[in-house]
Amino acid sequence: MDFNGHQALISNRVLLPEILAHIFLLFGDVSVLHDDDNRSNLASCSRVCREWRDLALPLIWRYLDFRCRSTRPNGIERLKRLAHFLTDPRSQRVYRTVDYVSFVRRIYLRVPVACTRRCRLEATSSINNFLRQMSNHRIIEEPVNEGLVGRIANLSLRPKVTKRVLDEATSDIIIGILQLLASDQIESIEIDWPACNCCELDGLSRLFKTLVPLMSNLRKLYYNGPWDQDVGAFLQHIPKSLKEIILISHREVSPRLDHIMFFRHLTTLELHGIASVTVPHLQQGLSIWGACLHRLDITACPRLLDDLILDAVALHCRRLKELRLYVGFTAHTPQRITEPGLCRVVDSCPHLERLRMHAIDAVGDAFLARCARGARELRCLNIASASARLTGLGVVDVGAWGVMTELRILYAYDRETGEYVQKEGLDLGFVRAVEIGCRALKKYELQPDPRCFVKH
Amino acid sequence: MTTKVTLTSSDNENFSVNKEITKRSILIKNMLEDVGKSDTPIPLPNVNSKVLRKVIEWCEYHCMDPLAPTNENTENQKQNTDIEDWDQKFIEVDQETLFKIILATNYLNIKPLLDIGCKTITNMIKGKSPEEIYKTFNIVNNFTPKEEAQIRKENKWAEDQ
Repeated sequence: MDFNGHQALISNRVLLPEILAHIFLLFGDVSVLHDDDNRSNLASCSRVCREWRDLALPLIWRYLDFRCRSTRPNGIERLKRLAHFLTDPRSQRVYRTVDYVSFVRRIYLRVPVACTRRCRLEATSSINNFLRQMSNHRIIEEPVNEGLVGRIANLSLRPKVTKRVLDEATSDIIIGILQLLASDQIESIEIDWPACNCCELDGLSRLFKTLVPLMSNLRKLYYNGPWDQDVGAFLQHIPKSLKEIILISHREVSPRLDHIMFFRHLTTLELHGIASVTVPHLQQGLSIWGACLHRLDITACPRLLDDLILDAVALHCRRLKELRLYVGFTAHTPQRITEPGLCRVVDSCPHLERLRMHAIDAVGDAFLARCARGARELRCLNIASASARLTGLGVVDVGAWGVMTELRILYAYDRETGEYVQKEGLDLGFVRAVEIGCRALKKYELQPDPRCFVKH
Repeated sequence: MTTKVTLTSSDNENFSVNKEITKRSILIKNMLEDVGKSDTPIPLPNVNSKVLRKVIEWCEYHCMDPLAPTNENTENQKQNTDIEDWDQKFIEVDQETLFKIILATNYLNIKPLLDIGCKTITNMIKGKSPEEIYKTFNIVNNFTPKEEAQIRKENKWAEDQ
C-alpha cells in the first residue's frame, strides 16, 4: 500500500476519501438555501478537482433549510430560483450528470405564522410580567426563557408585530421541491414553529401530507410548536425505524404518542411539555427500547418526574449516556423523585457522561457523594436551581470524576427573600476536593459562595 | 510486569515506549490485547521513524487526557475547528509531514490527533478560492473546460440578483 499521503493528495488521487470527507465535514452545517462561510468554503472545494467535487457536492446539498421569512424577500426569491433550477427541463438536460436532489438527507422547516390579536395580547401580558419583575430588581431563574426574551425583543423593537404568513405561493414552492425527493432518502425532518399560543395549523397540513411519503427511512424527527389533529395524524406515520425523536409543545394538550413507545431503535427521546405521555406509557417504552437509549430528556413534564421512571431507567437503560431532568417553567408541582431513586440511576448506568438537572428538589449530598465516587464516565454535571439541602458537606471523595470537564452547581433563587436558597454556599472541603481531584475540568462554576472560584 | 513496549517503524527503527502511552492508539491497544504478555516488537510498516517520533511525542504529552467520549457531540465537533496552543505548535510542520501524520494517525486509530490534523487542513482551506487551494496543496485542476462552464452555471441560481 502506498502511504505517501502527500503525493497521493497533491496528485488528486485521493487514496483516502474518508479523510478528505472528514476534513470537509469540519466546515460545519451547510444549507442549500443560505449563504455563509461554510457554504462558500465547500463551494470552493467543489470547484477544485473532480475528486474533491465528488465529496463536497453531497455535503453542499445535504441540508434543505426552508427558513422562509416574508421580511426577507431575497429568501423567497432564492427559493423560487432553486425550485426553477431543479425543475426546469433545460437545467435538467445541462446538469443531468449530477442529481443534486438525491443528496438531500435533512429537511428543516421554520414556518412563519399569521399571528392573531389574541396571540399578541398574550405576548404583551407575559412581557408586562417580565418587566415588572425586572423593575423590582429580581433576577429570573436560569435557564432564561428564550421564547419570552425573543418576544420582548420583537415587541420592543417593533411595537406593531409584523404579520408573518406562510402564503400559498411559498407553500407551493416548498411542496414542489419536496415532491422531487425519493421516499427513502430523508433521514431527518425538523419542524420549528415559532412560540405562539393561538395560531392554527392551516398552513402546515399540506406540508405534512407532502412529508408523510418521504419518511420511510426517517431516523430523526424534531417538532416544536402547537399541536392539533394534523400533527397527531402526521406523528402516526413516523416509521418504526426512528432513532431520535424530540417533541416540544407549548400547549397543555398534546396528541397521544402511545405508538412511539413501541419503537425498538430509539436512541434519543426528548419530551418538552408533552402532557399526554404518562408514567405507565414511558415505563413501557423504556422496557422496549431502553437497551438502545443514549439520551433521555424530560423537560416541563411534571408527571414524569417520578421514581417509577428513574427505576425503569436504572433497570433497562444500561447504555444511557445523557440524562436531563428539567422542571421547566410550569407551575410548581409536587415531585415524586427521591434521592435514592437518583442514586440508583447513577449506580445502574455506568456509561453516563452528561447529567443535567433543573430544580430537582431531591438532589442532595448523598446523591452528590454517590456521583463523585461512582460515576466514572461523567464528563458534565449541571445542577441548576438546586435546593438548600445540597451543601457538598462530607463529599471529599471525587475519585470518579477524573474525566469530568464541566461542573456547574447553581442554587435556586428565592424571589420572596431576594436571595439564593443556600446562602452559605457549597462546603469548602468539597470545593477543594474538586480543585485537586478533577484535573480535566474546563468549565467550573459553583454558586453563590464567593469563596469558590469560577472558571470558564 | 512489562511496562514498556517496542514499536518498529517502517524504516526499522525501534522505539521503546510506555505501554499506557501506546494505548492512545486503538490499533496498538488491540494488538497488545491480542499478543498478551509477549515482548515481541510491534511492527508498524505504514509509519516511518520521523512520523512515529512525532506521534509518540503527542501521545506522551496527552497521556493524562481522558479518552475521547464514545458518543461525541458531532454537531459541536463539526463547528469547532479550534486547536489548543500546544497542539497548534506541535502540528506546525511542513505539508508533507502533516499529511503523513494524518495518514499515520488514521492507520494507528488515534482519533484526537487525526482531528487535529484534519482541523489544520480545514483551517488552511477556509476563505480560499479554488485557485488559491490549487496553489496551497499543489493540486491539478482536472476539469474539462465544458465541465468548468457547467459548474459556473450551476451556481448561478444561488447568486443574489
